Amino acid sequence: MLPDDMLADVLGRLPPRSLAVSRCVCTAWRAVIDARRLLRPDLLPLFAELFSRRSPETKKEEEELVSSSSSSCSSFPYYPAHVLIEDHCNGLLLLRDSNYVLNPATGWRMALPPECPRPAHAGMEDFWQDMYLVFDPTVSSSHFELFLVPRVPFDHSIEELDKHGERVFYAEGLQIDTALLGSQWPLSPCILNVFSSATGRWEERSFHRDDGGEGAGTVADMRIDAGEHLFMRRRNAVYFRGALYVHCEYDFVMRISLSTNKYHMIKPPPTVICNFPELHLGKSENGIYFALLGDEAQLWVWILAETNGQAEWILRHGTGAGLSLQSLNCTKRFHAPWILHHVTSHHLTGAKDDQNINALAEYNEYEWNSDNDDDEEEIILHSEDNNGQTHCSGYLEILAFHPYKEILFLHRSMRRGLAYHLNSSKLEDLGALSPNMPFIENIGTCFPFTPCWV
Amino acid sequence: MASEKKVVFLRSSDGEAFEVSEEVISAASVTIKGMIDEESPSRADTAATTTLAIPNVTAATLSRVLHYVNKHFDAAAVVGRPDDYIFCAPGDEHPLARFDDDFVDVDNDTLIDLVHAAEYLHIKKLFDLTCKAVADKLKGRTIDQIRETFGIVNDYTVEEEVEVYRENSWAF
Repeated sequence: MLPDDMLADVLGRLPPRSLAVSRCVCTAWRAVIDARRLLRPDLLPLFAELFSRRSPETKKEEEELVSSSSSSCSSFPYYPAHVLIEDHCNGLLLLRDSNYVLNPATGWRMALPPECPRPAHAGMEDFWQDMYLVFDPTVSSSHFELFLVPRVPFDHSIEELDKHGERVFYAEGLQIDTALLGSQWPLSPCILNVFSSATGRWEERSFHRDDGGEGAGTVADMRIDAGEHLFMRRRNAVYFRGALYVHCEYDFVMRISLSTNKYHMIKPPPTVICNFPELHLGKSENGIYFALLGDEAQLWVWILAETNGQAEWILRHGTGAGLSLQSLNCTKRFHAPWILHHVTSHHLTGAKDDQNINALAEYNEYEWNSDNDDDEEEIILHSEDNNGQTHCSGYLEILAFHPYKEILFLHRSMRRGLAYHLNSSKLEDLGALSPNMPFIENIGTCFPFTPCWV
Repeated sequence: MASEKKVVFLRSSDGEAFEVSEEVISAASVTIKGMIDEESPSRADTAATTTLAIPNVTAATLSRVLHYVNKHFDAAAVVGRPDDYIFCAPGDEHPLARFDDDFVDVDNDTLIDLVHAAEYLHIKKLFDLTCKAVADKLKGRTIDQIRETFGIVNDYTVEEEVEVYRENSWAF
C-alpha cells in the first residue's frame, strides 16, 4: 500500500500498543517497524501496582504520614483514590469492593451489579469464589468478562480473638456434603458464573472437561489444611490467547478455553521440597510461567508447553544455589527507578481494622549496571540483626512477572524491589519500592501492567 | 516584467492541466519550486506560460492537492499567519483545522494517493496531515480490522505468526 519510507512515517505516529498490533499485520510491516526501531519496549510505560495492607497494630499517627506524602498521579488522571484492586487484565482494573471495572488510562468505567451470584452447583453455595477479569482488546476494545471461580474450602477453621474480643476467621472451614467430597474437582460440567459487559448481567456458563482429561483429584483431596497454608495469598489467573489460566488448589492450573467452553486441568510442575512453597502464576515473554522461590532463595521457573491440547511445565530456570543477594550492595547511594505516582490511605469497613495503602509506582526500565552512584537520594537498607553487615537481609518474595520480558520482580522484606533476569541470571536492585514512604509493610498485590489506551 | 500573478500549469499523469499561482505553489511544494527554478533562465524573457509535467500524480489527486495548497499557501486567502492553525486542537474553531479534518475525511485509496502526492511534491504540511490521518485509521484497531481496512494479505507462515503474536501479546 505504501513504500517503506512512507509506511514508517505513518507507523511512527502510532502509540506503542498500536505499533505492537501493527507488527502482527504482515511481514513487511514488521520489517519496517523492526528496521527503524519504531517500537522500543524500553520506552513503554510499565507500572507496578502496590497494594499494601498494614497490620492492625499500626499506629494511627502513621496514617497521617501516608496522606501527607501522597502525590498526584499525572500519568493517570483517572486513577482512583480509595480502591482495592482485585484483578487486572490488559490495562483494565477490577475494583471488587467498589464494584466497578476501570481503565485508568482513559477513565472509562463500568459499574457492576451490586450482588454476585453464588456458586451454581448444589452443595457449593457457600464456597468462596475468586473473581477474575478477562479483557481482550484484540477481540473487543469495549467489552470484558468476569469469571467467578469457586474454591474448595479449607478443612478446618483458624480463628483468633481480636483486641475487642471478636472472633476473626483467618480461614473458614465448611462442612461439605459426602457425595460432593468424592467428586472429581473441578466438576464436569463445571458451571461458572460469568459476567458479560455486553449484556450487563451474570449468567451461568458450562465448561466441560476436555476429552481424555483428568480432574485434579477429589474434592476431599483438594481441601487444603488451613493450619499449613495460613498465609496463602490470592491465587492469580492469567488470560492468554483466548484462554483463562487459573491457579488452583495444590498448584494445578485450570485452563478454561473461552471459545470451546472446555477446560483442562494442568498438573503442577515436579515437586520441589521446601517449607513454604509459593508458586506464582504469570504471563511473560514466552507465554504462561510458574515461579517458585525456595527456602534458601533458590528460584525455579517453568514455562507451559502446549501441544495438541496437552500441556506440561518445562523447567526454564533452576538454581541449586540461592540468588546471590550478597552481591547487591544495598548500602550504596542508589537512584531508585521507581516513581511513586499515587498514594492513598484507605479504611476498610467491617470488622477488621486494617489500613490499606494504594501506591502506583512506575518502573522506569533503565540500563543494566548503571553507575548512578552520585545521585541525590540515599536509601540504605538496614540489616535487621545490627551486626554491621552490609548485605541485604530480610525475606524474599515474588511480586510478578514482567509482562513481555523474561524478568521476575521480587521484593526484599516489602521494602526493596528486585528484578531477576532469567536470561543472564542477574539480580538487579530496583531500589526502595516506596521511595517516599519507607513504611509500606505488607504488599498485598503487585502487578506490572501496560496501560490500554484504546 | 510582468511579475504579478504569474501562473504555471501542472499536467497530471493522465494529461489534465491545472492552473496555479507560481508564488503559491512555490511556497507549498519544494519539488515544483525546484522545477520552476530550473526553467527560469529560459523563460525569463518570454511571456509564455510554463507547463510542468507531474507524471506521478493523477488529475483527481492533483486537483485535491491544489485545493489544499490554495487554502494553506495563498497568503491572500489565509486568515492570520498560515502556520497558526497547527497549534489548534481538532475541533477548535479555526477554519483551516476544520478544512483539514474534512480534507482527509476520504476513502483509504484517496488518502494513500494523497500521501504519495504529498511525498512526491514535497509538501511537508500535507504529508504530515495525511500520514497522521492514515495512522488514525490504524489506532485502536485489531490486527484483522487493519488487514481488512487496507486490503493487506497476511503473509506470515503459521510458525512466524505464532512467534510475532508471542512477541506482541502484551498489547492484546
